[in-house]
Amino acid sequence: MTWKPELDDIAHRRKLAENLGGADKVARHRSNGKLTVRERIDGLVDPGSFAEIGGLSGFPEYDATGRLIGFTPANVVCGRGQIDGRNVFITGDDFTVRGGANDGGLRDKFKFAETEARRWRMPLVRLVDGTGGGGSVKHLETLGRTYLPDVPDMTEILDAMSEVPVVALGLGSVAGMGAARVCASHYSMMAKGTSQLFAAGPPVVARIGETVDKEQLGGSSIHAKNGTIDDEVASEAEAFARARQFLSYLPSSVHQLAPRGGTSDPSDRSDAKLLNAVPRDARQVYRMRPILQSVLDAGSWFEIGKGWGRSVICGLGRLDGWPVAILASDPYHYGGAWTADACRKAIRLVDLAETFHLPVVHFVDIPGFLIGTEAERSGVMRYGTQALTAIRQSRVPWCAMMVRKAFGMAGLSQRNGAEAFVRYAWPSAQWGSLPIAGGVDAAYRAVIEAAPDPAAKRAEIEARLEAFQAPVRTAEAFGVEDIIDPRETRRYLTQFANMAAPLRAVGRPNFGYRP
Amino acid sequence: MARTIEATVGGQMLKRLVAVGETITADTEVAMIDSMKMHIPVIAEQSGKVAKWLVEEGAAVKEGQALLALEA
Repeated sequence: MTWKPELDDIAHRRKLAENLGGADKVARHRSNGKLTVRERIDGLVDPGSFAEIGGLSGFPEYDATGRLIGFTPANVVCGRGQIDGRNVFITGDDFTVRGGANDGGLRDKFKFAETEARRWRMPLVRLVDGTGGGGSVKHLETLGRTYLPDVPDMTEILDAMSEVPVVALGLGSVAGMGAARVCASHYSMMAKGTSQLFAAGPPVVARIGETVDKEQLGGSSIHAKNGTIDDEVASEAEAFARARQFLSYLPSSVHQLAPRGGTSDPSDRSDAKLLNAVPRDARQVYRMRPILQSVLDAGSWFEIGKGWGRSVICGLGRLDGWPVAILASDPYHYGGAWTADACRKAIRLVDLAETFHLPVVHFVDIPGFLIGTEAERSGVMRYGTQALTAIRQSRVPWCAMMVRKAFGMAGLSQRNGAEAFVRYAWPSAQWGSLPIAGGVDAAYRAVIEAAPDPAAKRAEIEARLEAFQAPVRTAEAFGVEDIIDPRETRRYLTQFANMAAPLRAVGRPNFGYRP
Repeated sequence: MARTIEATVGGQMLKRLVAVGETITADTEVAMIDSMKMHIPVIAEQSGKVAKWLVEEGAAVKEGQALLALEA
């Protein structure tokens, strides 16, 4: 007598689990343009690498004799898989079972799926497609009571962000706990058109007098502009590809260092185009992204959060194979001035770099924090001060490339709190406590007003002060370490990356990561 | 809902760079805004034919304000 009957029974149950919520529910799910949870996992991980955990869990139906007559799998599907040969933990919601809501899962399995990644020090990828949380108020009838809001192990679930990379993909309508699970990550995306995210959905919102559909309420175009998520993507396939690429720049946990990638791009490659990348006319803008793409390893630029806080460009890239975080200015948005959102976005990047020990390169062109009534109403100085604090709390090796402007308090963002800090200026750089144009009226008011021709006097003073603005004057006093030929920028940056690599130190960040 | 091209920054509308009836593509510079003492081009993010300008040159504009309407 062998154990074959039992194994056959288990194989039968696994087969039933593959049916998810049943053919009808799966067909409806697909007709909404969405992949099933199992297709999603297959699309994410290296082929054949998924090792499911808890595949037998769910809601069985037995007849009077104890024979299994039906089986609905738990709507949390989880397990280990590999991305580019490195282990990751995946948890995916199955929308076809009770809409992915928590009452279609199993409490212990949900806890396990959310906390297992940190225990094994591997990244967590969440495929979120459900409301999660409390499920339905119908529950109250069976429970006969209500309860204080809490999620088992929530402290540990959130603390995972200080231990392992967490990537979250919004792949359906996610509300409440589902929405929080998308946001509680280092990198989040929503699939355009098929994913919406909100604190509460349209029926609840209707009760406060707003009649909107779910796309108007919480579509990806809304949240990719306000920073609730990092990026919106055109398809689920694009989300999987970007999740894979994002993780390629990071270590598996804070207790390791990010692996060096290969590159065939020469470390001393120069680029003639960089000589005139920055216009001489101070009022004229230029495109920063081609500069980044030029100096990083070919094809390694990975932008994060393109749709919000747009005066700041954030992303990851490689220099001589070493992963680095990139912070840069986009003069096309307020001339590169830091808005409240730009500050929040910069904080997010710097905290990511600090958590996972990535050296930072900052391409600085910052005329200041945004000024004016709108800026003040947005609380720009509060967020600006937070950003400066986050940057100074960061201790990862840091390189500043002074491309153009650095003025005022926002200009302090040029450097972090690391002792290992290197700085180069392009000849187009200019800096100071405050821009001459704005400062002259305040500082020389009496002289200007007393002059027979105040406008001429102002112009004369401005011209006199402009002469002091050349960066070489600062270099003479060793106020900046060096002024370099922009064409050679890559050579300086790859040197920095190679110097920085051995300085990276493992361990938890000196703060708890806040998403 | 009418399709519009919006101001990418707040500031003063310096110049309209396209005319009514003109066809624009994503990446066309449609307007120049003076913001933070710089001249900042507004780049269209969608293509279409310009139906109507909604903002005068010289006017103050807010970030996100519709500058021009595209034909449906």
